Amino acid sequence: MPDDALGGPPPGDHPEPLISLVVPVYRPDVSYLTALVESIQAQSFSGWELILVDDASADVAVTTALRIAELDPRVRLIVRAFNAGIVAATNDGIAAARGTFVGFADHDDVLAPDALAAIAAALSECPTADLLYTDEAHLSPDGEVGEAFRKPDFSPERLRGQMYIGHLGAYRTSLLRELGGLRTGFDGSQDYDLALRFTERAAQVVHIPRVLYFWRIHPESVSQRPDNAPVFAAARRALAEHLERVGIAGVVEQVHEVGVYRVRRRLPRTPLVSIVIPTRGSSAVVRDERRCMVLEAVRSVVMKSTYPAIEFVVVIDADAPDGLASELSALVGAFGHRLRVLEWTAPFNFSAKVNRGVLAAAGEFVVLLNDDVELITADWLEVMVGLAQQDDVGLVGPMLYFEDDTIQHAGQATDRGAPGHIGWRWNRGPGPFAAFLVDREVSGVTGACALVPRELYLQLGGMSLDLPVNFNDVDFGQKVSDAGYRILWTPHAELYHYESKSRVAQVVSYEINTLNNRWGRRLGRDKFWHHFEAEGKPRL
Amino acid sequence: MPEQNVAGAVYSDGANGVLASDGPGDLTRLTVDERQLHLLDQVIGLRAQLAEEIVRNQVRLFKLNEEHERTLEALHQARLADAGLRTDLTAALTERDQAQADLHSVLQADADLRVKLGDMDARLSTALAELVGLKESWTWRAGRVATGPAAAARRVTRRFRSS
Repeated sequence: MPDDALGGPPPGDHPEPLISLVVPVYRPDVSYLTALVESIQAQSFSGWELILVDDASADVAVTTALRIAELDPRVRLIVRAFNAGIVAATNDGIAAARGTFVGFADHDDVLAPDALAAIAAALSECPTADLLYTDEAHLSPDGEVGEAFRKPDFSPERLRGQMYIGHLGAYRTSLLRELGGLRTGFDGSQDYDLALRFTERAAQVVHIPRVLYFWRIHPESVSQRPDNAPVFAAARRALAEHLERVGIAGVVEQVHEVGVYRVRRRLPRTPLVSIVIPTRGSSAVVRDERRCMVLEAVRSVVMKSTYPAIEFVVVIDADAPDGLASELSALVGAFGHRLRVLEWTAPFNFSAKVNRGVLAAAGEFVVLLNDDVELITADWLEVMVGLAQQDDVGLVGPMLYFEDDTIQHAGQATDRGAPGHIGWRWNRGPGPFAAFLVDREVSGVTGACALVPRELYLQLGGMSLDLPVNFNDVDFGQKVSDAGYRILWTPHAELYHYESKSRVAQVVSYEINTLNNRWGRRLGRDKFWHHFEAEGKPRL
Repeated sequence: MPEQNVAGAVYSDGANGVLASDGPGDLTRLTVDERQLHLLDQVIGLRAQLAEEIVRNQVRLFKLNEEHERTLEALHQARLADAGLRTDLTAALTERDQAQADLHSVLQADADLRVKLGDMDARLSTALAELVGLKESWTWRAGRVATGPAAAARRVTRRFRSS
């Protein structure tokens, strides 16, 4: 069906449903199809219609099951004369839809009984929403509920790395038709292409943080096929076109076999980046060798970094070892970078030291860097600056590892008021639903390594002196979010953080109170990370 | 993630021995720019606190409203119960009045009955007295009646003996 044929359904006698569920059907296991239809018929919300589009299955059992389903007046059956694929079948369903929203379901999946009721409730709270999506979980062939994908609130950056919206999504029909429905040529990734195009235009995208859709995983699933190369190629093409539409210069690479992508951004320019390091110049044993932490941190940066415009601003305590400044100067000078050394004589206040460094910095961007880090990824600054050059991005953080290669930081999250590091002490790996493979929005990033536009840092009053030891980065992240900026974490910039070598965590109630007095209501439920133990296993 | 570390606010060096704090510490040695930055942070922080307080107060207000609604509902229910009790009381009072009236009637009837009984007692006494009189009279007569034949017999016997 051509795109311009998505003009709308013929007039009918029935009042319009709120949600039209469109299910393209092609030779499914009849028991799975029946389970899907029954799960829709059992919805606690009544304002729906089901449009089954038989893409010429030519299978007696399937046809019989569809005819039985059609006996329900809320179910409509469209039978295609010839098989034309999921895009054409889905577009037929969109064209026939009478609902204000269209939801897509696969012919072998299952909806939770209150899935549509939850969407209707969310819509009554957010009437301007153009797209609503729920969490989902895997379902085995015999009906066992498996791992749950607890999705983040709308995360455009993450969407550029993976089609995380998935099911169940409800798209406003008018915008869907305006966009021409699904596009031919993107078969297998047609939903990804739609999600990218739709979210570019959507007024509001709403996440319903409940597992209300069950994705059946079985050997015949599209995702389980051995050769999905055309699907991934279609996804890369969809992403490339998306980048062009939104004005991001870069190339798309696939970074994982399950369809996770990386946008490698081209930097139109390489503005000066000031790396601000507060230090006392102390030493510790790393990999069986005693080292001056700040010297080795700076050495790893100057030796490995490929970014051309770097400035170091080191805030050194007055009681640091003699000669540290000159050693740093020699090291940095040898690589043609600029170094500013500031002496700190006042009582300890981490925030104050960082603020002093940032005020002295000349860069357009500032990297707040601990002295106990070691660089892994050579193009870390290209990656982080590339993300930070988006106007609505206020803070970018990298992947940090402990000395033993377990994760130290994959972003910050709060769980019932307690801030913490995502992935802390986890082994290297893709993380829950590839979360550790994609650039994504987070609630905050550690101050151990964070890139921020200098101007924004100053506009936000820098690090709070009220939090001289702990939580100053959590507070700063909240200030960034509160000002309307996104905070991004990237796995494509990696460093070691030898935190355990020098750090003994100790938090006093004053810090907790200060943080809660400012941001308490925001710390209860994290917007972007829901993979907490307390979430438990979903039930069907 | 309660088992996780707190967000990495602490860097290694300089933190040694100063891991806990109860405030910003000495701010007298800040430069003018640093002081401006600090003031800006204070403004943002206060604005955030204000927003936080507004939300908290809204929550409190919402809870108070809910509580007020519950109190009003309870009051309404209490009033309904009170009205029910009043109705019950009125009914009970009516019942009591009726019972009192009934009691009065019964007492009156009792008094009347007592009078009647008194009359009847009097009449009975009179009748008894009469009966006693009669009895006594009848006893005499009965004695006469009873002894008459014997005397006649004795007279006959005497007459027979004398003949």
